[in-house]
Amino acid sequence: MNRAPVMPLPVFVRACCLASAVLVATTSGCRRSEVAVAAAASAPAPSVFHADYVRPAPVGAPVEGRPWIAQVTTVDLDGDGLVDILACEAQKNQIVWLRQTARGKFEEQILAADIAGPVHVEAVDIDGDGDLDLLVASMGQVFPTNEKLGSVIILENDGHQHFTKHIIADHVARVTDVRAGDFNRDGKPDLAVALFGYDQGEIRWMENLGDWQFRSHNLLNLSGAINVLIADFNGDGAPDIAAVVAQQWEEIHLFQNDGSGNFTDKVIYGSTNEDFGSSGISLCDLNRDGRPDILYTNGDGFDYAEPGARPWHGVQWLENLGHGFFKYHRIGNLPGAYSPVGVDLDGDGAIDVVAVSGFNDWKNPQSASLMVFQNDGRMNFSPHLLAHAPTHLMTLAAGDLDGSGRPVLITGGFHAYGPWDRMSRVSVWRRAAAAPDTGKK
Amino acid sequence: MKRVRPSLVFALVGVVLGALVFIVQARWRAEQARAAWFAARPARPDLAAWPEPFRGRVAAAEARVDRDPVALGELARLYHANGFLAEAEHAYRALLALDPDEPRWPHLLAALLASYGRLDEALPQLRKTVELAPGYSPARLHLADALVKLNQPDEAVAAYRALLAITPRNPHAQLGLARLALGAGHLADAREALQKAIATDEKFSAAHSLLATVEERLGHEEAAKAERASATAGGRFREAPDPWTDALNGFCYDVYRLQVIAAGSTASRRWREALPPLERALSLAPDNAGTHRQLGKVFLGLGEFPRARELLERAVALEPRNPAAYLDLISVYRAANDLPAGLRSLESGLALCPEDAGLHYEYALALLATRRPEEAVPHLEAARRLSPEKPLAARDLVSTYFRLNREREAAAVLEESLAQQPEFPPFLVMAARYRIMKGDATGAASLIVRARAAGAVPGDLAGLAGDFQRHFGRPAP
Repeated sequence: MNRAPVMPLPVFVRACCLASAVLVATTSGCRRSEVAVAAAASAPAPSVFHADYVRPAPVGAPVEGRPWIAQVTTVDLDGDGLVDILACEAQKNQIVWLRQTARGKFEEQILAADIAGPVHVEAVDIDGDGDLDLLVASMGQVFPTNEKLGSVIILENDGHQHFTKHIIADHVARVTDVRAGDFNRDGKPDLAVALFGYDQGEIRWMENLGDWQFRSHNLLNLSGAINVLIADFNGDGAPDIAAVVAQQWEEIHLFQNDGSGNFTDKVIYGSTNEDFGSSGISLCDLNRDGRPDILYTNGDGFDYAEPGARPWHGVQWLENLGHGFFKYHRIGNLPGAYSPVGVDLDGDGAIDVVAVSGFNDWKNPQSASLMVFQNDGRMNFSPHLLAHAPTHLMTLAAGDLDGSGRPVLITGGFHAYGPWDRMSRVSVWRRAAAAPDTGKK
Repeated sequence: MKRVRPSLVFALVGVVLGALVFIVQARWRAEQARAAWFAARPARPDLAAWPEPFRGRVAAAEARVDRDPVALGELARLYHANGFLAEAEHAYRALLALDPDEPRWPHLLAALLASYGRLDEALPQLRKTVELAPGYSPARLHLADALVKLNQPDEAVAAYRALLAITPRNPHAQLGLARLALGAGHLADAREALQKAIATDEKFSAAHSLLATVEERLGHEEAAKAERASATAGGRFREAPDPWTDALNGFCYDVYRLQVIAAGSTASRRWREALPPLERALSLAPDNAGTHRQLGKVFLGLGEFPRARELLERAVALEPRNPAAYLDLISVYRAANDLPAGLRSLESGLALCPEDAGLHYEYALALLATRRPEEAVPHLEAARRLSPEKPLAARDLVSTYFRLNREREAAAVLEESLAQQPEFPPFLVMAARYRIMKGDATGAASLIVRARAAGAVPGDLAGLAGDFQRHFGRPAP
């Protein structure tokens, strides 16, 4: 009998393996080309941003010693049509006003020099007399302590930018933020207050009883409150409060207001990483759907270890889905990220996100101190370095300082630790003249 | 020739073919499995700037991935521990499919995702871990904590209770229950849970600080004060031990991260725990001044002064322009009572860092300790000028001026300091004493009242009361 030749087993197996290898290779090749095509299709257009897109210029008093600018904000304080800058100098216990006297010219005035550790100032007409008063959060001492050194202060404006100090709350846990909103709809602005404390802290709202009298209502008893934001987050017509608490909690809470000053607490974001480093939140309707979203940075690196960055530091946003629901989205990495600001920096119609770094590896000259996350209009963000120096930037604001419709960035340097070679106090960042335009405005 | 029966031939051929098919299938499956493990290997990121031991360990693990499943787990943890989020996630997700019964992979993936803020994605992994390892209490704690942060308080309570069912004295579970009770306004429940937590771990600072808040809310001010003091004494918040994630420290080759890991231990005075990461950091970067400083402080904490001195002196030599290094070193000289060496070190530091308030202040203290108050004055003035927010230099300057009979200067500094920090008890006490000395009963009385309200030390207040009585013949207010 003639038997059909039988392929020896090793040969058969090798053939099988070869076939499978060919199959794998073919499939992987397919995958590679698909990926390549997909990557080519989604390749972003070249960005207008580069490391010299905006350039800093110091404004106000020169750097003397080691500045501790804890916050900058923009406002036309004297109503002359020119946007000014307010800043907190936490080491010198000062609230300073960088008044824009003519386009691009700033004169610095000290509005208060006896507020211990001021870290937030907000201009709002509290007494309804038509001028802007100043809400001030005073930590008492910026560095960690359990002492109740905090206070809530209102600087009452006499209409000519002369201010009278009213201490609204004193001997409380260190205060980091104060904002105004009419929570009980009685026509008088109330206050939302973040008390960081250290081991003990709090979120409260303070009911405006008139005549500079306020009654406190406790909202949350956790340490580490950094910022409070006021907006109608759930779309029911009443102003709500969002707050971020750091320390070991690392949470963002939404206090939903029933319109009469009764709040319901809800955690809308949290991290179980007790070293997450929450460093700030800000309001921004990033996707322009009419609902206020929350920009959020985690970059605090000044706790128990030598100051520095963590690999998870970065920028994110909480998309407001309505009715008190939010969805977390990571925007990008930025070691030591602080002070997120939503602004259409390149004028392409989409809101970009800019943030500073307070705790980067400053011994490395390539570490970023200012970054923009460019929005492609579909909430896809690409990171772009804007500056390596000055370093230790803890606060950022954006405003139309020039009346040109183009945003100008304002930063503050907080130099509590070294190196001390690239220091700044208050800087304004304008677009470099040679920067190309997107032409899409 | 005897004919072979066809049925036997068919049977034999069938057996042979069956065996062949079986072998081929087995080999094919093995090849597929090997290919799957190989494909699970994450693409290697640019590791050029990383230390050789790390690169070597990554390369060795990569080489073994297709024949040693353990290697993929090693690779995942190497990337995880050194901040390579995407690579670690890729490897963990592959391990979930390839090694589905191992609870460490969902646990570590959850830890990774949560550390980067992606808690909603971590939650299913936490649930999976609890399912695979129901007796591993850290997983249950992470699940309960995650549920709190994902605004699922009822489920969180159930998860904390499930954890207490297996570890009845778990202080972190009690802390979690307490914060939920506090949030719901159930103060008595919160208090009970916190007391249970403290009964298990009396140095649990987070429980003490939350209990201080509860006592405050209940109007028990004295109890709150005691809890605040215990919270401070307890040191920094400590996460619950989690052996599976804690083991990641052994995979870390990032010097700064090793320093941060060690700092987490030293912040709660667990000195010995800080030694392994710091020793590894030192082996990776032998000239890193920060590691020397940290290690020196650890030995200082352990009371091993010669070793501490050696390390801190090396730190100063490595980074002579860093004032913090001199300030660390002064603690060693002080502990060894070697004041001359301390003075010499501070003089060197001031020569290189003349604008550092801390160095001026420490130097002034050293001069005062050697009875050289006149020389201390300019350094106290410099410390005050350079760090106006810190009141201690001003306090010591005032008392030094008084000691040197420079009353006018003392009064001027005191007045300025009190205006800047009107609630600082030492300023109020010194100002009250000065008013008594000047015969100003009204001013002194007002300052004594303020000093008491600001929480001045009882001994100082008693001294003031006695001085007031002696000078004015009536009791202090």
